[in-house]
Amino acid sequence: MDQRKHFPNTKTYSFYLIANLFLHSACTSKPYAWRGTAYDPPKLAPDFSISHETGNSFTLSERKGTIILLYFGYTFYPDVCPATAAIMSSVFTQLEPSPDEIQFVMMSIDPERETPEAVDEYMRRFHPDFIGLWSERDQLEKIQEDYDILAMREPSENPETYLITHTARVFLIDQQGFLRAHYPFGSIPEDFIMDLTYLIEH
Amino acid sequence: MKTPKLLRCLSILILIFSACRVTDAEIKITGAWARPGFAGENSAVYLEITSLEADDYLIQVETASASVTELHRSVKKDDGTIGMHHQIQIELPANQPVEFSPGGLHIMLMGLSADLMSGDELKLTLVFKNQGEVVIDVPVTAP
Repeated sequence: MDQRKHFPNTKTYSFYLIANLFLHSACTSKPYAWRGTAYDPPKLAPDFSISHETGNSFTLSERKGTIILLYFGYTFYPDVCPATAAIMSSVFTQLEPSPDEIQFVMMSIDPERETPEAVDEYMRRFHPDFIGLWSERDQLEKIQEDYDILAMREPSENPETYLITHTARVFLIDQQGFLRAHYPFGSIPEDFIMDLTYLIEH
Repeated sequence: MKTPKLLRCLSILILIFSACRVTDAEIKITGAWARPGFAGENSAVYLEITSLEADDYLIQVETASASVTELHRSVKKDDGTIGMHHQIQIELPANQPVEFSPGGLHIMLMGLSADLMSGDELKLTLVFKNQGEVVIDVPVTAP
């Protein structure tokens, strides 16, 4: 009965209920408004298969049935990439998905400075179910091209401390392997939660 | 009773001086936090700085917890990429809070001398062009 406190007048309360019903039906008849930038029509996500002795093996086309959030990043720089992983961690904490429902995967764009184990260990700091992937440079370049990922190594006096200017975007791949939306850096957990909830329910 | 002329002059002078009180410029720092990281790795510090009453510049940051400390700004470009730019100084216009936050301005710590874990604290010396050094304790928090 708490709600009634805000609507002491029965007339106002009824109006609110009717307006709410009307709005609800108006919204459900419209196509879903994605919080991310939608792929219209959805586009088959370019497949890739990573397999090596250490670290994770991962084949995208074998993950059908699971929603994949895919990001390209590197562990050296302590700002944008960990901020993205932290946002996804907040999404996972709120939705509590099983690893079969949703997976967050970061593909390393810095294979020379990172190792398969290091990328994966880094990702698990943010959430035990997060996955870090690593591939050889030539395969990485093919995957980057498929996903329109730009990654440019910045000049650096110290060859160990170079920075990489890169596309910081999270891709949402649905249970059938189709790209449905992508999210720029600065998207909030709520954006992902809304779209993921929609995907799970439809 | 008639107030002596001298006393009257003196009280007027005191009034004038108290009206144009010299304001102490001051630096206000709030909401500081650092990302966790292991020894040898990098971390970033975020906070909000306000230079009260007068313009100032943050010109340097020092800490014993990292081998290199730099002022950086992440900048999003039209093509969707984000690049990081080393900043020589950060302008602090009077009374205008300047926010250091993920994806924007930050203090980059390179080569941590020890593990920085949630709950730890890190001592940071901020050097301002006009107002000198301010030492703060920054809590490490998992974002």
